[in-house]
Amino acid sequence: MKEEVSVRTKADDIVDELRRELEEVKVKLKEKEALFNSITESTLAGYWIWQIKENAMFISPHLKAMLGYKDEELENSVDTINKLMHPSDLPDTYSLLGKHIESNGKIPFEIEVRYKHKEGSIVWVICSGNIVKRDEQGNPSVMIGCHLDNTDLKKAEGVKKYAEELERKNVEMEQFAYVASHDLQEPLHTIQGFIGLLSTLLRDHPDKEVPQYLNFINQASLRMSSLIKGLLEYSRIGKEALMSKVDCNVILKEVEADLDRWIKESNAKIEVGELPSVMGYDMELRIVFQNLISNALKFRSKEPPLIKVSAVKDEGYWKFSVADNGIGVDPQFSEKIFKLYQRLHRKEEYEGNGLGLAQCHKIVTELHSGRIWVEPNNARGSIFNFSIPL
Amino acid sequence: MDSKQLDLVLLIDDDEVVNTLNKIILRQTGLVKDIQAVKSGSEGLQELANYQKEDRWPALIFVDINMPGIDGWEFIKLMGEQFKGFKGKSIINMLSSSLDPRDKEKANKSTLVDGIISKPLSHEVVIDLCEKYYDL
Repeated sequence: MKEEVSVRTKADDIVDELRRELEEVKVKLKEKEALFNSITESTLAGYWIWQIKENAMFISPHLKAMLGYKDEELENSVDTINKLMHPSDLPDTYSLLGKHIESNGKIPFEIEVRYKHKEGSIVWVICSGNIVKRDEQGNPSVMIGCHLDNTDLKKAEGVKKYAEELERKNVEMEQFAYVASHDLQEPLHTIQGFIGLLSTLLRDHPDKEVPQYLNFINQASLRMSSLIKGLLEYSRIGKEALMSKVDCNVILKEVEADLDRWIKESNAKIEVGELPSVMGYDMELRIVFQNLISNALKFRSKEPPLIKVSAVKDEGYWKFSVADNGIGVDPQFSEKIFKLYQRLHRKEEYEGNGLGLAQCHKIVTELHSGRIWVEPNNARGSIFNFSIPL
Repeated sequence: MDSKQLDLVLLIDDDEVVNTLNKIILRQTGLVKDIQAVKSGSEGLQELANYQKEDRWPALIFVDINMPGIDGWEFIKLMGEQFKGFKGKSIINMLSSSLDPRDKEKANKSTLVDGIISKPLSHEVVIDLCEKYYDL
């Protein structure tokens, strides 16, 4: 009995020992698995195991989730990969895989491929793998690989590229406007020169229509010149300008002085409230005030113009307002008026090249990251507002 | 020689039609005896070298800024290097289509250039220049 007991005890001991070891191994395995999972999860990676000879494949649930599928929705097979990978990327992938195996792992297997997401979008994946097991002859028998989701990076790259492209196009456009308007000016000046010469020669032509036609040609060329000049000025806005602290009170005084004759001729009254100093572009802000006040003088009603310029501090910005009692702006055009060459009136009614408010818009939004808009004035006329960040 | 006339004016502009126009305007003012026009900066330098040999010098020089090859500003620079001491003998005006602020500034700063004129050249501008610099 004693012996039996002791034998049983020995066997028990061995079993217990083995059990303990097994437990330990299990725990270690669990830890390793957990580590592996946490690594793959946290690196947005999914993995696959490929039994090369049997051509059987295990696809990890995370890899499937990356493509929008639940684990049970996709079969664990090479076919699944073949179906979901972008067809154009399959040949290169298999070709590289073949090289990896033929070279016995010397040529690394890593390739960027596209997969089709369940929702139809494209998932960019960096797919890499390694031979992990060989058969008795030393031929590769198992490969393990992982999939790294690269879509966000790809998207970010795309956005960056797009932003750069846009920036380049913008510079190009400005350059184009500048060159075009400069070069268009040249022949126009020559035409104007000869119109002048012809007008002198034909001033007393017996056919009265001759000087009249010449006058029309002259007017059209002057108008074209003014349009081109406007475009030139528009494309020059903000070039080589530096930001500085700008006292808007000073600007307003200068603008009023510049427009003095016009203000007196139209019997206008301009009331200017206390204005702040802002960080901005001096010349350009002057153009904004000058254009807005000129417009208020130009688009006046039958009454003498009454123009109120004011500023209030709001959250994060100064809001400037130029209010008038003029003819107002039809609300349906309140966006359109800020676009290039947009005019609401025939040139016989109101002079202008259709660039003033476009200039204001460019100066406020592009140079000062502000906003410009128009709203109706209570009784009559309109209020042009613009904001400049503090 | 009529004492009420400038002896020689030089026009430099790559556009032949502009040269023709400016010649007519200069001629019509009756203030200039001889008007020469060339089509490039290098021709301009050549012309000046010829004048120097003949011991003549243009009273007024009009230079287009925007020319292919040697542009107006390069011409001024080369002229300053090749013809030392011409200053005081010629009134030099740049001709510009755009009145680019940068060109204006350049003209103001330059010790070789007397002014910048917006195209097209007009009778009034020529008359003003003759009055201002030559008392005509």
